[in-house]
Amino acid sequence: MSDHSHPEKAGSAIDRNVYRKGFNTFLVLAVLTVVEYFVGLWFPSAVLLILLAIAKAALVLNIFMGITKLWRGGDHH
Amino acid sequence: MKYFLTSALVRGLVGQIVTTWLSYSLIRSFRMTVEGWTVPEVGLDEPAVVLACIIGLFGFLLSCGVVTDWLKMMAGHKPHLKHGAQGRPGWTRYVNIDVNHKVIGIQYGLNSIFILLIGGLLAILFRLELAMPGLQFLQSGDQYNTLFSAHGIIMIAAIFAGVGAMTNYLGPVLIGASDMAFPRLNAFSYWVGVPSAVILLAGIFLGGWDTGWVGYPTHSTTTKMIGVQMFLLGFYLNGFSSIASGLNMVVTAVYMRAKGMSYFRMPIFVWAAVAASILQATTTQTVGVALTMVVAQRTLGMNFFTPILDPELLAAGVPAGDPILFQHIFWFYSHPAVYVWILPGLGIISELLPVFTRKPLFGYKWIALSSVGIALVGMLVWAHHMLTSSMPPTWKIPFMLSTLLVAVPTGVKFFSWLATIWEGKMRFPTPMLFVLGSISVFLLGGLSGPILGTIGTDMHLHDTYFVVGHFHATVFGGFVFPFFAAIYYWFPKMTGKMYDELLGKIHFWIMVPGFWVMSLLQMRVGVLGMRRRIADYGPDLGIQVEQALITVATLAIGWSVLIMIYNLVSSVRKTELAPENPWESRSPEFLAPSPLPEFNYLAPIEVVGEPYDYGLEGATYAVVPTPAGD
Amino acid sequence: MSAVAHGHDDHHGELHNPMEPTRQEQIVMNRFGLWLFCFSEVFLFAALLAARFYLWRDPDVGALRPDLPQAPALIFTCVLLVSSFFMNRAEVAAANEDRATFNFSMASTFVMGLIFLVGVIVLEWGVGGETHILPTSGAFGAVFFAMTGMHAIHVITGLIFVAIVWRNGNLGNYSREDHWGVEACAIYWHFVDLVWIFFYPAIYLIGLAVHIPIH
Repeated sequence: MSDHSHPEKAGSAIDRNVYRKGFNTFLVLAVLTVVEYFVGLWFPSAVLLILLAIAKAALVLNIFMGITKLWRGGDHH
Repeated sequence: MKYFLTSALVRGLVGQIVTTWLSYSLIRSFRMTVEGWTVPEVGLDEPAVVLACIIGLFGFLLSCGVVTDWLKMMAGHKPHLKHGAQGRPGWTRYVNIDVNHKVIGIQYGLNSIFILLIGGLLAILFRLELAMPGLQFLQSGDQYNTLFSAHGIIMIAAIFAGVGAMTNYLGPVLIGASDMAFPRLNAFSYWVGVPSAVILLAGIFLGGWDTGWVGYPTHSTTTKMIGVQMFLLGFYLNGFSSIASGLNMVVTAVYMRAKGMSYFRMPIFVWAAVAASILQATTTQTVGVALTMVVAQRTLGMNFFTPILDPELLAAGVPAGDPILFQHIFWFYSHPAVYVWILPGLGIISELLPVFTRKPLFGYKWIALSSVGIALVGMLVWAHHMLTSSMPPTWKIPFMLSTLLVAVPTGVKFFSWLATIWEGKMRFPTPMLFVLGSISVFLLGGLSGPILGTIGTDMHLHDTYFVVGHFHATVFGGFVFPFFAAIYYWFPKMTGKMYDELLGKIHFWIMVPGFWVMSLLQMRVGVLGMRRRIADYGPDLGIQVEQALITVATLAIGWSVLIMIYNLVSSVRKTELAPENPWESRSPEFLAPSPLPEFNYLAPIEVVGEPYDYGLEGATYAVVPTPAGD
Repeated sequence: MSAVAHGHDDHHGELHNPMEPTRQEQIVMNRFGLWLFCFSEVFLFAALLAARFYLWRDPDVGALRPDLPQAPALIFTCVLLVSSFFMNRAEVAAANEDRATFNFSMASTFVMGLIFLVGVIVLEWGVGGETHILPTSGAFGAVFFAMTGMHAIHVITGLIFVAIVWRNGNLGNYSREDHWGVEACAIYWHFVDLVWIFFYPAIYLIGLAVHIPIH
């Protein structure tokens, strides 16, 4: 929702896009989790599992937690 | 008196004692009704003590009222920040919940000096014991163990309070802000430290403990002295204070600087405080884990640290615990913790030197970055405390190298100080004397460091009095003396009165030489074979004269601190006002009235030049608005 | 946002002191402070992970893990993920003052979080269910309960946070311009999920499975 520079103009079309972005992220995370599970059971490689976890973490940090707001909305000087 | 009895401090303490006592009796009687749980008939019930202490902390916080505003926010209200004394006399602000950073800074300072006196008293007690071979007046080794263990952790609490005093009072003032970024959290940081200190002190009387301030397992997980639980909890709960105040200071320095104050125009003390705060906000978490694990192993039987295992589990291939794990997690915090104390102290040295040499600070950017450098390297050196442990030898060499690397940013600071003093027009009031004293003492500590950080020499010196001498030199040179310098320097700013210069100089000339004697002789007896944490030593070690002299020096240091306290207390009561800018400082706080107004400056200040251009004609650092008519 | 601050600024009432930060400046600082807090917590969970990799190890075989039932762990991991999804949805809804979606999403977040918590306690810890591991089961039990326990404490505080924000949202305390409470709750809740992203493979998937005898 931080995409709206003009909140009063935020129509329902944009909202649906933002909602969909959350849903798509969720789908990717779910797929990665299942992949993780099968990798863990059939090709137990610690490196691969850690890489998968880092990929999931990057998605959560970026899209769910909005880490970019720290520098996009945070310039004071 | 009426105001004192209804103050947040008294309400909190009563709340803590009542809730701790009630929950202890409830939990104990509940545990007696459960089949299969053993509760001792006489003496304390350990799991009940642990739970009761934690509940008691909440009792303190709720009854002193430091969390009231947050509870209101949760209920959907928007409480205002309360400024001022709320219609009570001015002094009551220091015993009540107050969100102003200057009040909190002074609260920390008073707390620090009070705890420092208790810790110092314990040190004097066991120094008297060590003055001669044989047991003098202590009844047992356990008493001695409790004394030095408590001395360690209580002094650590005092130093953290002192760091809190300096960063809280000075941080926002020096960057031209009105307050910290989160005033309520700031008050919380201070007030959560009070019940933690009470728990620590109570531990001395409820059984004591004999683990030292490090609390290594497997001794800490098996000792019968229940005070160890109070020590672990008090230590742990103090961590909340550290974490909260650390992140508060970082946010403040990033977002609340005055107009025109770029990062490289920040006062050097703020750089140091931010570097220390980053360490405080991050590494404190790991010691929390280590201490929680010891508490869990003692109360719940979870095996983190004991290499012994049930045979059936062992046969199945289940791994056992390992005491070395504790040392890793513990030192990952506890080594940087020392840098949390000394970084602000070294920042004070760099801050004050240019004022009293009337010269620009040499190599400002290098000094600023060296603080960050010390903080970052400091996170990678922890295992040098374990060079004689069973850690694999392949780990020891990298840690030796990273330890020696700390000397580089520290050396940057030393050479900058020398270059700043070089050809300066030096003045020698008490703060400057303490600054020079800190440099001399920190040099002692610094030079004895690499000797301990090198594997070969550490094999010989580990766990001797040499370590004690080294450690006290770094902490006195890096924290205690700069802290005293800061107290004398900003005393006219805090109170509007001037301290007594003669008494200040007497304090210096007793304390600093006294400390040299104490520290050097501690190193000497260490090399001659005196072990640390031992209640007694044989006359055939041939160190009686040294031991007696160390004790005399300790007593001198103790008396000199009392002189300082007398000096400060009597000076506050003076009627005559201190000069506006007694040190001819360029720093913005000395261009504003003293004591500073509620929001520090009447209107936002603006930075227009470099901070340390002393002696340069027409150079200005900050434009500070003055009261009406200007 | 808006140039005139006093519209939403009932914090400072009639007069805003020029020395004090405005509400918008305060939100920017709050955000940075919360992120720093998360960064600080990373060290806590990293210390637990370090303990796990340090202790769950055999000099000959390498990394070990306790042999625990896999299906419930996967299911609860997914439940937490779904709650994270709804938390995100609630935040978007609050930013758009979409009260109905906000309510439904917060409720779902809370319920999913609660299912995760109860699931861990009953099926994983074996409280009132079948026991596979005990706190006294050597380093396995100790570290397993330390990791899941520390995470569970954060789930509990997160649930309290969600409940408070849900209620305050119902009272109409959040607006398009100022819904910091919801954002803070979302960051915290996602952080709890983030920790589990690393804990799940570390506890259940990495290393050779060793069966724990329970009498």
